[in-house]
Amino acid sequence: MLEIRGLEAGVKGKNILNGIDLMVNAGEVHAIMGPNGSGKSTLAQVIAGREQFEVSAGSVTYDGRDLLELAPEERACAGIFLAFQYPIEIPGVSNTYFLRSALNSQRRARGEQELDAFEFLDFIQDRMALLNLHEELLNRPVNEGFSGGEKKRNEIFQMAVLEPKLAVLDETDSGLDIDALRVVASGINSLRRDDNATIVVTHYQRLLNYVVPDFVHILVDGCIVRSGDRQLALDLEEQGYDRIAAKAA
Amino acid sequence: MDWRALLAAADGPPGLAALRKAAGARFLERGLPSPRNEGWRYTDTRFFAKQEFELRRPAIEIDAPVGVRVRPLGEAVDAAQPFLADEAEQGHPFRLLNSALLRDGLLVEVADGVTVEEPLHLTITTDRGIALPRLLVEVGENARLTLVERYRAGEGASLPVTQLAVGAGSRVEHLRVHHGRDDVHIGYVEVRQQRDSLVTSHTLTFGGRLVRNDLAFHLIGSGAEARLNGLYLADGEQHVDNHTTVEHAVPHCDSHETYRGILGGKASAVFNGRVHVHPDAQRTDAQQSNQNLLLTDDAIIHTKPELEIYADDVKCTHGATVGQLDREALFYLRSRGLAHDEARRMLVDSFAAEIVRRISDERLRDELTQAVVARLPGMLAEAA
Repeated sequence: MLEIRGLEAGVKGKNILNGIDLMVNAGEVHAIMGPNGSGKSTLAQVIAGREQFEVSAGSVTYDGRDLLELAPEERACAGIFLAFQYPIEIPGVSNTYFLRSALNSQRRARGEQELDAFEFLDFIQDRMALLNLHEELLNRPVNEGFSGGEKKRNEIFQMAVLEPKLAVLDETDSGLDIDALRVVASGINSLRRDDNATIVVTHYQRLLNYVVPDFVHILVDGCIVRSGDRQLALDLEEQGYDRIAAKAA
Repeated sequence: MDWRALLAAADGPPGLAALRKAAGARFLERGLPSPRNEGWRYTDTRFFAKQEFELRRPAIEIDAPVGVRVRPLGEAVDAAQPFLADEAEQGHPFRLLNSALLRDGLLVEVADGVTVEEPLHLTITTDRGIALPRLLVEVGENARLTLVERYRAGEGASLPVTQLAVGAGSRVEHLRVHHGRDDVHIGYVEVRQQRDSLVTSHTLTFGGRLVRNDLAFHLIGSGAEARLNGLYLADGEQHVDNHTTVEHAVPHCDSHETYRGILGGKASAVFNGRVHVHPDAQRTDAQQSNQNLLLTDDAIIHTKPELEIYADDVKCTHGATVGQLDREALFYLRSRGLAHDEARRMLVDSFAAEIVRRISDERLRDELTQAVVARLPGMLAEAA
């Protein structure tokens, strides 16, 4: 589904990613772990198309297409979703209006019928229940006045509505208490299918207790220094990044 | 423009002749404002000297609901006198000019205790030439009124003055909407509020070659509250200037001012918000905010709060921002599948909606929401 080869990217001539290779197939969950400043969030945003980052080398192929050629909205319409580490507040735009516009934009791109306001409300009912979201949050402006946990649940709710093929979750566990973490994790798990894939970007292992990855990659200084299965995340939790990174070197 | 000749030829209701003469003499003595005058530093009206405008009567379309009495000024000279007593001594040059040529106008009255359910709509049109309408609005005690002034101009100049006297315990919502492109609009609004009254004003400007809105609120009865909302949209080479003054003359009054501007092309705008808290006006709560969105590098905003506070037990805050569309927010919307143009429109629209949503009347709110939606694509396309 996604094939990243020798990816180098950064801002203003300063590289943050120094040659990433990563292959993600349908049905898989990959965890990308790394210390602060290792480039995890940059990788997530480059996949989503953040223009601030310049790609200086390498390639990213998604479903056989050159992903780097696509605008962020084209990537979204092709099934890529980024759950933001810090979801953006948009005063004056209601959550429902925003999400319906986004969904309809994607449906248009796929040649599907747009949903009117009533059809949309029907469509989102069970997805709201999944994330334990109150109707009141939907009518509020996007993320404005939401607690940290509500923002993260809102991200996964958007994912549930947009049904991406490749979801990239950037530090979705940060700032969540254990109850919120369970709700978010069960939301993510219930969206797992054979024909979609998830990349979980996280600093800590704890989300991976709930969202169990097939592969774990350790990112240090913009390079994947080790890859393994779930056990690698547990080793990391025990030994810390320094020792794992040293072992790799 | 030969003001002397224009003033000499001016006529109107005989009962207002003395005022016209006195105001005319003072106007000629003082002349038009110079850019050296701080209040007119960024708004140059010297083109009046070079351009001839024929004096025209404005067309005033009235849609008056039950509960409100509307009379032409010429038929209500005696009743209008309390509004006009000090007019010949006013300092604002265009307000003086309006008095010097006082002829066209309306006296609007709402009696004590009357709730006017439907809005009073006034549509004032000046196709060409110069027109100086005057609206005098007397709202009694414990009454309610929504007043809408809509100005439409072709290539002319309108210099309207509105005076609003609001009795104790009354609630008034006042909309002043200007739709223009190539015209000049220099308007003055004076509001005098008695005890426990609430006036909410919405000043919405959709463009114009030169637009200046002066608002002067006088909170003269304790417990009075003023809410001043403003939205200005300009592009091309348009210029919009909003000057507001709130006089807190007595204790326990609140004023909340929120102005937002969206500027494209080479448009320029001014926001000057003066809050004057008199020595007796303890427990004043005055808030002011002015936020601006610049769609192009060539658009200019001059924003200036002016706080003069002579009482010590008061709460006064102010803030101004000038910025461009938030790139993070744009990326967020696009990452969900919204096209770049649609994402920009949504953000600009939401910025404007924060003002328009404050209009209580649902039909007016919808109408003005649509007016904003209709105006934005052109501004955004120009800025793209």
